[in-house]
Amino acid sequence: MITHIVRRVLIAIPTLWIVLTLVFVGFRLVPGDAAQSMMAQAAQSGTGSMSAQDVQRLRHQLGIDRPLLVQYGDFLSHAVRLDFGRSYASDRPVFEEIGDRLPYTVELAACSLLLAILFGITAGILAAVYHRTVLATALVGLAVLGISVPNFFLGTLLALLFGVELHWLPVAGPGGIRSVILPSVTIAVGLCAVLTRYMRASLLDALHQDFVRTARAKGLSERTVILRHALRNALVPVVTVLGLMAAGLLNGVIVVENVFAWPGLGTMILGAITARDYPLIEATTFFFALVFIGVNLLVDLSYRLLDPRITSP
Amino acid sequence: MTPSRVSQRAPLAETEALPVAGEWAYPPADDEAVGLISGSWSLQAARRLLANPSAMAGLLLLLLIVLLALLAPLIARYDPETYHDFLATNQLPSGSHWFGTDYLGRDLWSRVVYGSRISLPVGLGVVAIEFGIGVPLGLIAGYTGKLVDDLLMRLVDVKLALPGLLLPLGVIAILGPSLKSTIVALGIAGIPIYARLVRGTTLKLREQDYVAAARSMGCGNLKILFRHVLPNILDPLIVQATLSLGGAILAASALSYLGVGTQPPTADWGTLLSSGYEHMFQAWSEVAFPGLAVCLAVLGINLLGDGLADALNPRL
Repeated sequence: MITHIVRRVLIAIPTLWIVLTLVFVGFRLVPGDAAQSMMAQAAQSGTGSMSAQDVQRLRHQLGIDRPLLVQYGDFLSHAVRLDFGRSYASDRPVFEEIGDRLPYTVELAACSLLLAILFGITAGILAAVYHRTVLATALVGLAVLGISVPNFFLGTLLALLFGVELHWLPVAGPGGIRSVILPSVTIAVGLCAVLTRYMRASLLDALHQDFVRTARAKGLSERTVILRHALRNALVPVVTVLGLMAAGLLNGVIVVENVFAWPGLGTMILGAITARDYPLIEATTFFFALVFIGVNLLVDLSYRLLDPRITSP
Repeated sequence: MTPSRVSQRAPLAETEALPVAGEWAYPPADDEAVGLISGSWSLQAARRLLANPSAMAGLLLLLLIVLLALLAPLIARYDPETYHDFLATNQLPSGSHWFGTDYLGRDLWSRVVYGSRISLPVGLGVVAIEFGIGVPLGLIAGYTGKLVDDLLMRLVDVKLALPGLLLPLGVIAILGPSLKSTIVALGIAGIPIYARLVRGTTLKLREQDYVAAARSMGCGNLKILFRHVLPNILDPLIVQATLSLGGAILAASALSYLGVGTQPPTADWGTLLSSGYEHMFQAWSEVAFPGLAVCLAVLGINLLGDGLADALNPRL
């Protein structure tokens, strides 16, 4: 068990290194640099125009006038110590920036995931148990609809209906539990649809297995057969999908956050990419990759709880 | 995906002439399907697909949209970009403007119709890149194993570790926002899915007897890959390609919505939706119709994809 975890952590190191290198090289291939985009912003907001010398001085200040290889070495040696520097835009330590946004992202992620699990898993179980009935057909149909609706469209419609027409719920920005309802419902619809499909397919598969027939032959009630025997087996692939979903949500949902002006990690990374805020992009990507690897490890460990046949590979 | 079916089907390719081939090779799980089973494998699959009402509804929807795109100049009532009626901006649907007008007085029906000429090819372009690069990569990794395989799997890990739109956004930042960058960006982001799918199946197929037989008969690696391995992974690939076509259209419209996809005055459905968002208080139609267009296109594709999956994999 411990060796397994250690092994996984060791495998994660090259992945993290490639992620960081890709981000470092990638964004330096982009035409224009941070100094230019800061100058353009300053000129736009009218806080002062900058000359070519100013840009050069800013480049020097930011250290982006040095040879790329030197910058890369410097970057890696700091990254190893988890020091990603300060955001170019706000001049605050990047992890402070991430820390500011994280609570909003966690709030949104938790609400969406909770809704999705509650409705998605239930719908999936019902669709499998009542296979080939009107109920199942309706649920499967709803699920296909759910994965076909673009979330920015759904979000806009919900905002229009519940915010603008009915005035029931706030449509923009955080503030109290009511403000999280619309964005999390928007996200949950898509997740719900995906979960329904996975849960249904997996449970249908499990219901055709020999051990289910044995359980029925023993005279167990249908309820026990489904909940204790089939469902537990069927949950393994669903948990994998859930893990991917959780990691995705914790990394911010760029589009939906954009629709509802939600100050999470998604809007932050979008802003950072536009502003060429290298340190912020690098730190956020590192954080994303770390979350993904961590969540996947947890998912892996949870397999053992669900299925005792699975042991250390 | 379904190893048992893949392994059963493989030797069949050589013995397709046997009249009973279909019956013993693919025990149908669906009791009602029994009467239909006869003829070659693809014929059976086609029959199952044709008998599936929701798949046919999807196909119909898709054909309708393809027709709209092909006949756009005939169907659109105004020029989508140059026609402006500044006296009638942000209008609700009416007899002269079926979908209403946008903030510059352009006819929304014409713009939505012409939008299909962007969204559909973008989706196809993305799938073509994913397929064209992902499949050979997966074949090579699964077939040769060792170093190439390790390397590829690391890259898949890296891609998975980056959240949803981050990689496409990064690629677009490098290439500059345009329609072409959108296709390339989404294509690159999708390659690992195909590579992983093909690699997994190839790993299993590599150990099959008929591959060993082909090799002992002096088949070269390339011939084995393309004549014996690839045909046997086509089914899951077709399903994956259909579903990722829908995903690509969704993602491309999301990128346009964020302002980094198609650039004005050209408008795909995502761009229309995002500019409509600012005027939705005057005219709800400006968000409703472009959004509906995306929904219907993706719904059609997904219904067809699900039908294909059922038809090609009758065990479920």
